[in-house]
Amino acid sequence: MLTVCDLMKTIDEQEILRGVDLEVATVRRSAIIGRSGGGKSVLLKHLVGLMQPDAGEIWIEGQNIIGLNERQLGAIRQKVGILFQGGALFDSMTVAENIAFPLREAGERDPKVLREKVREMLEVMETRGPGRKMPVSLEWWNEKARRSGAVNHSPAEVRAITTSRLPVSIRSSRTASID
Amino acid sequence: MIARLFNALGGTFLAFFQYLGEVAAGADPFYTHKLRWKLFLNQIVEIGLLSQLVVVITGAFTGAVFAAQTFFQFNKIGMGSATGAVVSVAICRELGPVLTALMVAGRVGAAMSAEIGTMKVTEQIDALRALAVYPTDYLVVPRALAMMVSMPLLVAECIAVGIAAGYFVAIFMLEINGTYYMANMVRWTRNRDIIMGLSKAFCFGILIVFISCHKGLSAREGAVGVGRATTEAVVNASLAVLICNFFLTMLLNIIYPAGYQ
Repeated sequence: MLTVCDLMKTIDEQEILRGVDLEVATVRRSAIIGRSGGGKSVLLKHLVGLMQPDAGEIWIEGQNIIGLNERQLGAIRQKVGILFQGGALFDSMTVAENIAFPLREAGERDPKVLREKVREMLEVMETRGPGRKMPVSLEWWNEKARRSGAVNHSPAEVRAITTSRLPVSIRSSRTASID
Repeated sequence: MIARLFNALGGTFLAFFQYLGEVAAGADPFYTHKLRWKLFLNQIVEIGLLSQLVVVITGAFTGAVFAAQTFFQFNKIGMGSATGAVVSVAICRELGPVLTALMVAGRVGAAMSAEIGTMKVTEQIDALRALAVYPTDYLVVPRALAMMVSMPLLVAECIAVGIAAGYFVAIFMLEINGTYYMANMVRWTRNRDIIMGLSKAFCFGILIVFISCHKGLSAREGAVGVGRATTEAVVNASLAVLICNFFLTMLLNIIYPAGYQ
């Protein structure tokens, strides 16, 4: 369960969020639709503590995340998979290394296990091919997405859900790359 | 107007001190042996190994020109053979650490700031945080530790090359008597001069890495913001090195007094 109560945010004297209330039940798919620059991404960033509101509360699985420090938020963020608007793949790593990153951070060190898990993730998500490529060389992927309109999952999506059993998954502008 | 100015200044200082606190907390893995060795070794290569050429050229030509200028002045009063002592002490205490720090601030500080700044504006820093990885642990701590190791070694190299270049110019080009040159140099250069240079190197390294990473982490507004952050990182780090050098010199001179004692 994810609950937002009376969320307020002002950036550079511009009011972005004014008293936002939201409730998302478990096992539910919801979408926030609005005009460009309307504050959708800002709201999503608040949901994982990447931004702090001026006022309001955000409850994730019974815990209010407002006022928690970075280290306390770490435990909350492990429950949430977030996909950023531009993918935000680490451009110093290959796609496979990007996907393995959350697993490595979770303590998995065996290269064989990591390789196998990355292969599995790419297959399950029907995203074979780009494992050895660097993220900056994925223009072909966006091109394919643009042409077909509905394609396989992007490497960024695969990375976002790599950590096992995430109760909450947040995606910012799923269709940003195919418009 | 004045309130705004104080707000801006206060905000900047608070952000910097908050960042230093995060770095201090992030140094915890070093003590618990959970250091990210791969990142640390990568940074050793980036900072230490790949700065060799710049540092060697800086040291060599500074030592050479300083030896020549010192000789031109000292020779007028018949003290040409004291050139070695002056060159050696000056390079150990001042020229070696300061010039190396300025070169490293330009080469490494700019790269750090640009890399981290680009990560910031492309949301890679947010992605790190979303994956429960603290940017200071992952990006700043390995760089800071690598800088603390690399900088004194680079300065030691700069000092050695500078002294060697000064010797070459003095003996083979200015025809100073080699025996007197060496005797004066060894007599007047003490271990404390070298320790002072290496201590400064350590402090300058910390300044460069903290300022550069901080500027990168606070980059905003796309490519323009990254460019601005990189420029500010190099300028601020260079100024910090020069200002800090004065106070370090006064402090270290009390601990390691100059001269033949």
